[in-house]
Amino acid sequence: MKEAYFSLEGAAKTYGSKTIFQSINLSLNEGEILSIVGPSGTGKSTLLRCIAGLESFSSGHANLQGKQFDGYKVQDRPVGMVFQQPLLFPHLTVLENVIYGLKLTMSHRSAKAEGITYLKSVGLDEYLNEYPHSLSGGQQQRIALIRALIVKPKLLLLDEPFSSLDPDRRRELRDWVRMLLKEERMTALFVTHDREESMLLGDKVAILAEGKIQQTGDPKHVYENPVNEYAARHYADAIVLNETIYALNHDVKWSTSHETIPEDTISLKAEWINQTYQYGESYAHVKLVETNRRCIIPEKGHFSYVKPGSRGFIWVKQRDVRLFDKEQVNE
Amino acid sequence: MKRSLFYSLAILFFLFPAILLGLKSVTPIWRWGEPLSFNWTLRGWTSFWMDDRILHALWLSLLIALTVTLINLAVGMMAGKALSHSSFKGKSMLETLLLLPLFVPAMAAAIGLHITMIRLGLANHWTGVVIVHLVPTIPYTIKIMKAGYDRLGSDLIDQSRMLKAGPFRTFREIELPLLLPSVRSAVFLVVTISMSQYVLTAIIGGGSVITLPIIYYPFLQSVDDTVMAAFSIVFAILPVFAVLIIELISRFFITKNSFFNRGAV
Repeated sequence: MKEAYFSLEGAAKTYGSKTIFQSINLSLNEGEILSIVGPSGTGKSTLLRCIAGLESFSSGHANLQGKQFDGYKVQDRPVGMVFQQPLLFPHLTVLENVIYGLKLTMSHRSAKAEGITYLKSVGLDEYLNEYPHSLSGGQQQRIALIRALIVKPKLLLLDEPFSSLDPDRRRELRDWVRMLLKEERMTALFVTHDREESMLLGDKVAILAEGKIQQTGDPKHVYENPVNEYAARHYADAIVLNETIYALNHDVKWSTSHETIPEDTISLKAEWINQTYQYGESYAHVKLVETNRRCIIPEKGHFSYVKPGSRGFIWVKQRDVRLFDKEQVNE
Repeated sequence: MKRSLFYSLAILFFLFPAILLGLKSVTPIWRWGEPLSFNWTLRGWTSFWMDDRILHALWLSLLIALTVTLINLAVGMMAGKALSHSSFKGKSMLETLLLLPLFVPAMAAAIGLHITMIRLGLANHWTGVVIVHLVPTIPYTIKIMKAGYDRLGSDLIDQSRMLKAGPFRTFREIELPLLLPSVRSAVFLVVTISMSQYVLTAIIGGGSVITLPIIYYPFLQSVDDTVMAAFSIVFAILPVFAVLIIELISRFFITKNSFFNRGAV
């Protein structure tokens, strides 16, 4: 097997007796983008900070091009990072911000020339001499990304770089970032709690929940074939029936009364919340009585007569019930 | 309305006394009940400059104040950063401990230090005076710099490190320029405190370290308010002068195209 460009082996982080994450194994090929998706507070940011060297792993190793680098100081690691906030230096102009890292390896003059060329190539050269406070949040984040890219790190870490932006800016910026990363053939680790974002940016996706990588693989494959309940809950649109079986949301239907449920089905008691419409489809929002979890199922029927809070059932045909494929944790 | 109120108060309480002081230093003594007369005299300034210890005292006051300031900034920044950005056991305890010198009467500290200073051979020397001036100033500087670092946060420092800048470069290009407002307040406070120390300087300096206050205070007992006014003006200008010097030093240190910054290679 070809050796991976970047890999993490058994990485773990503990604070005292509290484990943030453990036995994290990841690998990336050159030029690949991996999205790490998971709920807030699962140590996604901490994982990136450890790879960057701002914090240290409690155990495990990080390798790049066959070289272990987790013992290096921050400034000696071939790693760049973009944070949640743009963190532009407020007392420096856009150009000075962009060439801040560049000045370390080349003269001020050539750094300046290179910065201007780069900013021109991405169409942001009109802000050259502006100070960060006069830029919008999205523009600031663009400059921050360029500042990280211009020093050509071998691995770029992106820690929810869109989380401080409003939805429209977010969408716009996502496409731009993906395009730029691909143009630069950048190997990147992208952390997010937004599933859609992870699909849009990542060539591969990894689900980090409960301090462990639950599943990695191609976004579509992971979406359709979750390996366990965590993967199902955090990435797939699936209703976990028990530890071993699940049903995809689009196979699930709503019934107001028990009599209307066909035979050979599994049904669960549920509470009606409401109905929403998106992309020409309508969706029923229901809450499972037993687990108190909310789920959204595509539902063609009109249930405007159902009062929010009234009880009913959701059901799925026996033949649509699926088994978690636990063998296949890493596709 | 608010603005005019501000200006009238500022004129009443700051500008008016300053002008009065300036006038007083060039007019002869006027005693209550004497008829109002208006004569000019340079006697206040000449008797001030004629004192042959004055120039030396000015220079020494400045030297002591600036040394105290530099030590304050070095200690204050390191302690302030540690208190703000790192967490360790007993942090709040340490923070309180560092403030305690303000609650002990300076005299008590000075007398205690005096014995140590004599043993170390620092008594009756300006370096001893510098050390004793640290007692009433360091707690303030630490407090100010901690607030500065609180405001700055650690994110920008992390960002600078991620762009492969070492600690020194990060300090000079990011921390120092962004902390300049805090540095200014600390400098002003420390210089003023140091320059107005009479008791501490007298005890540790033992009469052989002659700073401006040492000459100034005996004059207070005289009734010659012309000389007093001249003295006070110099006394008020000196801290401004010291702050200017620090400002120049920091400019040189920070300026974007300064000697240090002209790109390696």
